[in-house]
Amino acid sequence: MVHSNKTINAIQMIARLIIDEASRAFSKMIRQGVSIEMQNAYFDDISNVTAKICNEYNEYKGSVGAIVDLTGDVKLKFLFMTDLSTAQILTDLLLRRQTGTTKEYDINVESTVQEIGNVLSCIVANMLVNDFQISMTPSVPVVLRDFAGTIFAEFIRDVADERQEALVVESRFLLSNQKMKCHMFIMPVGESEQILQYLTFS
Amino acid sequence: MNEMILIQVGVADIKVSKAPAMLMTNLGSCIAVCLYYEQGQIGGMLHLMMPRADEKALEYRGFKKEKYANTGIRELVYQIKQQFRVDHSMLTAKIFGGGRILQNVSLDIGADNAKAAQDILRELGIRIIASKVGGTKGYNIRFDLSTGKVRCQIFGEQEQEF
Repeated sequence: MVHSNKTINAIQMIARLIIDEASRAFSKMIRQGVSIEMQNAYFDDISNVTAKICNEYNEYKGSVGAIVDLTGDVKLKFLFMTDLSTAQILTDLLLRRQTGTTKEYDINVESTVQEIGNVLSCIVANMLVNDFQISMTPSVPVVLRDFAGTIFAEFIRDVADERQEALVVESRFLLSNQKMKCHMFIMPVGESEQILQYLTFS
Repeated sequence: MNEMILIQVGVADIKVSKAPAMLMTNLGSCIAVCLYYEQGQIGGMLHLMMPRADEKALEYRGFKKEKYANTGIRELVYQIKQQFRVDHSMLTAKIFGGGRILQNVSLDIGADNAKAAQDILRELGIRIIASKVGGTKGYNIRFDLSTGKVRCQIFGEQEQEF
């Protein structure tokens, strides 16, 4: 499928608005200055996208991800994914502990990733609901601890069921004084990108 | 000495190559079908997502054979034959994956995928010489075309060689 520049511009514009909101909320949540930057918003073949993620997260310790389905007038899939050491740092920050306190994956780490997934996906939904007067409902975040490629493959499955191409909005998180590796992915399902384009330019 | 080429296989993807090369992928409920021709050190990997393409899927304009066991395995056999003139009767198979990653989903798509892959390989008369399927965690697969060995690591477990 060939996508017009207009569609891609619409998606990028909405993605920037979402990411700005997410930066502010996430900073408040962990009481640290966090900057979330949009890395890319692009359409690509699902085989290429998944191979790229596997290459990027080429690690064997594993990652943690929270997957949320946003349903309503626009259907989106949301994934917050981070490597294990970053998830531990985020747990300490959220629990107001000295970083380095959390040494292994436990219920606190799982809850932290679930909570971050919940908050960030709600920001996405709120931003679209408020700015475009549409209805959206987020599901309860499903937390997976596994290889990054496995988490991403499960995330992309619903989109891949119905077509061969996925739109991926990729972002990364920057936190002063901490080495962090986490990403947020937003993926429209079905005809949602056309609806987003209509909403942006109408 | 030739350097090993690392080839990442994405979801719904086929890669076919000759030694020295390593085909790699990560699996959840998907299945990796590894076909190998020992004498020529030639092999290919299919990363399939679903058991069977129904009529609706076959009619879809953007239909991709690699997504399904019934069309993807035949396509993998075809690509090996096209590129290296290796007939399917000379190939052996190893299959991996098919975990039940999302526990809240009632459908066990991983088990269905594994069963479909086994059935299609049997239909084609390709012998399955090793398999590791099921579980609740992801798989990291590395298929070395120099030896035909597959290193399989299930998340949180020791790596095994097949």
